[in-house]
Amino acid sequence: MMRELHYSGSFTVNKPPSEVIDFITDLSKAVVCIPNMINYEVLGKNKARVRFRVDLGNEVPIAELRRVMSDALIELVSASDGEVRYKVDGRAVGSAISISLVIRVEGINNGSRIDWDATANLGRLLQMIGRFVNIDSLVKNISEDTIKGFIGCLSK
Amino acid sequence: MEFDVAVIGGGINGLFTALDLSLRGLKIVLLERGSIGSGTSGRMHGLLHSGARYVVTDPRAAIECAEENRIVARIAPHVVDDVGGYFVAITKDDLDFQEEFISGLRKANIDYRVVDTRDAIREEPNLNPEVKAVVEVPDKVVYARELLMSTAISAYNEGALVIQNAEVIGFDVNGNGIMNARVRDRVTGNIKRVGARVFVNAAGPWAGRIADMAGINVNIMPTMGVMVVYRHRLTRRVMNRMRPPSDGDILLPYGFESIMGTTAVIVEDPDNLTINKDDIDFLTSEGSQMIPALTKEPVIRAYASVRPLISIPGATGREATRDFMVIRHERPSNFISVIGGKFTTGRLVGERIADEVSKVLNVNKPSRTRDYVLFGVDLSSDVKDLDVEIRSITQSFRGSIDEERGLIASLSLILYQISHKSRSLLGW
Repeated sequence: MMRELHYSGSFTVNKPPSEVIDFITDLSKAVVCIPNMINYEVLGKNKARVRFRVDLGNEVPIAELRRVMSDALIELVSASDGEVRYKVDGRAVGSAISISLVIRVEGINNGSRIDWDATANLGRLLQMIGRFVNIDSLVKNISEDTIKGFIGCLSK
Repeated sequence: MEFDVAVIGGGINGLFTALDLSLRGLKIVLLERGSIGSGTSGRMHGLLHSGARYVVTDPRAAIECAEENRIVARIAPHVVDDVGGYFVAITKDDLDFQEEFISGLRKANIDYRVVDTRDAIREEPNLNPEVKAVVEVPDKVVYARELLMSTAISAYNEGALVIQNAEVIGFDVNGNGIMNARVRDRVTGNIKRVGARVFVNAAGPWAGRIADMAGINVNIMPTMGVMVVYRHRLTRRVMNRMRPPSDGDILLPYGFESIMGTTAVIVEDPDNLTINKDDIDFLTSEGSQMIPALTKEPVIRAYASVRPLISIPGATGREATRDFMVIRHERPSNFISVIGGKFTTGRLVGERIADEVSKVLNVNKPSRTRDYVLFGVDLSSDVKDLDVEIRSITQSFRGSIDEERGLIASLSLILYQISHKSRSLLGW
């Protein structure tokens, strides 16, 4: 049975909300900010296919499984009133992954505050990795890396 | 017939355990479900690691690999091709990894040489002309089946019985110890009992099933690695991507062909593997970043091996992250499991298991396998009880056009004979 995982967080950038929204809804710009990207293909205005590597951490007893490749189809589902919704369907280590991501952008003093909320379904096989690594801290690390990537892109 | 030790599993770990214990004077039987090397060991990628691949992420494994690389080349020169290896930086990220990589090589005391990229391309004309940095390391190619069969024959020569097609299906436990392994003879279908003072579980990805038969609950997660075989040999050396170990970063010259590996996919059943076209395409794509000509090479076939990730109660923290673990179980007290390990470190694993078994049996003799030259270096050397006809065939390769290619044929024939003789000595 698939276990649903919820994660959320927020960060700020020194760009106005309109620029942030423009950036994160332009997949050709946004996907290149994903850390450890191998390659990507923009499939239209609202879809992109990306291939990237994911660090599962040194707790995994086989070196080859500590840094694995993942394929994902990212779809921009909606964007309105400062809220952007993405759907991500992919595979990693032979297992399906599905993520719903909601991003809210709000203006603050000199920039924007970005709140994100993700609901992830990790496939049954991938959940087995939970015997060796803490899935929560793994997803937290991946999220933080991804956010760092986005902040880096938005700060340019 | 009662043995000192029954070793379950005829892969690299089990075979070197059997050889090591035989050399310590113990009476050994090795039980292999299929043929020697028919599991994970016979489906490895062919790399005798220099250790370089692990210097950053797994320094202890790197040091072990570096030493075993030298030992295996010394004790089995007939199955090792000392081709050397390049670690190549293709992207800026690869180049950024170089400093940490070289620092790791120094700490692990692994010989290396930074190679001028123009010289590297002259040496390896198929190398990506955009290559940004190259570091040479003492990687070697090992011919897996030849090494496995050489080890099995050596163990037999030292007194071990090597039984193929012998599937352990259960144990007779009496009190705190195992008395017998119940074994299905897959040739006749009969169920037999094999008694021993100690049982070693060296069944690789099937180790969880064997432990379960002994009443030990283990969490096992088999992971599959895919290798792709291409028609031609495209490089003289092993090509490695200069980055932390990941999917698709080793290309090997194996005989006349090239082998690209590997992927990491979690599977439910190590006996039921499916290789997807996506895996083959991915490996070709990744490999072509190092060797662009790979995209034009015909794919002959793909194969997969399975490694186990196993979580055993009591093995935590640092121990659980070791490349391999030798576990002496509390109950049954005469049961020892080995989990993990690389093909390169199989001899070392065998030594460690044999040390553990020696403690159980109060044997004080040290391991001798690091200096024991394996059978096969000289095919004219004696094999116990070898049929005249087989001896004649194997020796006829000497000096012929097929002397090198005849090695695997000769070893297969001799393995067949020693397995047959072992069965006979066991009364099967």
